[in-house]
Amino acid sequence: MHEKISFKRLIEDISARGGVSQNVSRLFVREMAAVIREGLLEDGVVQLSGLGIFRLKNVGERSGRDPGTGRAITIPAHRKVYFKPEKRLRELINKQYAHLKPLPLEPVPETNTEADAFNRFLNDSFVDGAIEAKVETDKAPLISREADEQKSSPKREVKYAPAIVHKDPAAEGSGEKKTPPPQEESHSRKGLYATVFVILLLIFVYMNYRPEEDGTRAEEPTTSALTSQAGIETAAVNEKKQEAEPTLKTPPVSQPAPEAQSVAKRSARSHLTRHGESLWRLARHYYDNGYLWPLLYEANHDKIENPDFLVKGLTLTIPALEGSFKKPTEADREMLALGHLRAYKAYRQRNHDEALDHLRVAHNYAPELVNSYADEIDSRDGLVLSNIP
Amino acid sequence: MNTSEALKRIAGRMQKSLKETKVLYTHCIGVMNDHLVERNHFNIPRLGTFGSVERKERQAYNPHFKKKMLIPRKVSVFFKPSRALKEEIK
Repeated sequence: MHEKISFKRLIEDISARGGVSQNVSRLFVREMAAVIREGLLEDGVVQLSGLGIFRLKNVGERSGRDPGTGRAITIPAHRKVYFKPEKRLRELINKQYAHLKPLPLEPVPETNTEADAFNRFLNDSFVDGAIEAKVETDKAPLISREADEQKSSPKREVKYAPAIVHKDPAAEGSGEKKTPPPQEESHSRKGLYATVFVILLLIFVYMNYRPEEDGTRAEEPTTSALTSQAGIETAAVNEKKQEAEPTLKTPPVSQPAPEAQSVAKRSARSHLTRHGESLWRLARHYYDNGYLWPLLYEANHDKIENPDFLVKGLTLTIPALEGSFKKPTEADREMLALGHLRAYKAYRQRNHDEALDHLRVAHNYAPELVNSYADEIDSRDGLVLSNIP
Repeated sequence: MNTSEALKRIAGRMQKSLKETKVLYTHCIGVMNDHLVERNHFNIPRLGTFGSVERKERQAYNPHFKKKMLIPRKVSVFFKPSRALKEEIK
């Protein structure tokens, strides 16, 4: 370990390992060195497998100082030999350190706990909350012996900034009977947490409630229209699709012109298509979910030739959705199933791979409905469908 | 110049078959690698000194992550060309 190996010993080792005479191995090493020198002079690069690569590099002229005399001299341009051990050798040598990996040096966090960070947040935004807490702790039990502590504890309550909280342990070090204050602190903190949580909850509820209120107001007529429509539709379920479609289209006709859509997106009942729009995009816009595009296709199938290509300048009707994408009502399911069936037919005509997916989805939404259209379904696809449990 | 070319030349100089030279070469490299793993250093006349040293762990700035990193210790191989080689290539 860590010793200088003489050339003689190196030769001995090689001959012992190779089972050859020392003369041969000495000759070999000498010749190898000579060949490396030759190669460097000829090509400037010598690559030896198992060892590495020797390379010549040019070093430009530069000014330096004579270390002996201290005079400025110019070091002439010259060439230098560089050796880079090959990867296998580097890995072999570093085997014992292979498990060590570079680690990011994180700066020591200013706050140790979440509570401290929360307190800082409190101090910044809810100053009144902090004062309340302080008042509470001031009213805390006052016994003669704890008077000293009481003096210290309110101070602590005022100092909610974590920087000061950090200093506290040092201050605590001087006094011995400082155990109770942290408890009080935690109590007051709990109270603070609770109040802030309630405030946040109220804000959250308020913010969520407002738009919903508007939405319900706007959607009230539509939902009532839809319930009646749904009634009609459920009755028409077992009949042919052509009968169901007119009922879908009837309510939107009386709806306002497309100019209104920018005012109230949700309640828009018709849409004038523009350049670059797609059914998916419209579904995402109106229902917040692109997967509901077959609804639009079903409602406007007479205007749309290809569901993948939306011509601009069409006035599309936007059917209302009773439930949501995740919780569709019975009427929604039927509409979606019809939409997917229509998409299936369109894609089947074009021999598109997605056709089968739409059939599956339609079957998922309303199996009986799909079964009632069995005669329109391709026999191959019907076979696939029958395999669905 | 690559290994096979170097071996051909060595074989020609030593007047030995390529096969023998290859065997010798593998043993020679094996011994050298063993010594490097053992952190020994050795000198080859008119070529230079090979050896391995341990680099201590250090802090370095990683420009990709834009973070200071702790680079663990590792062993690296060095080669110091001999005076004769230096003069020759100058």
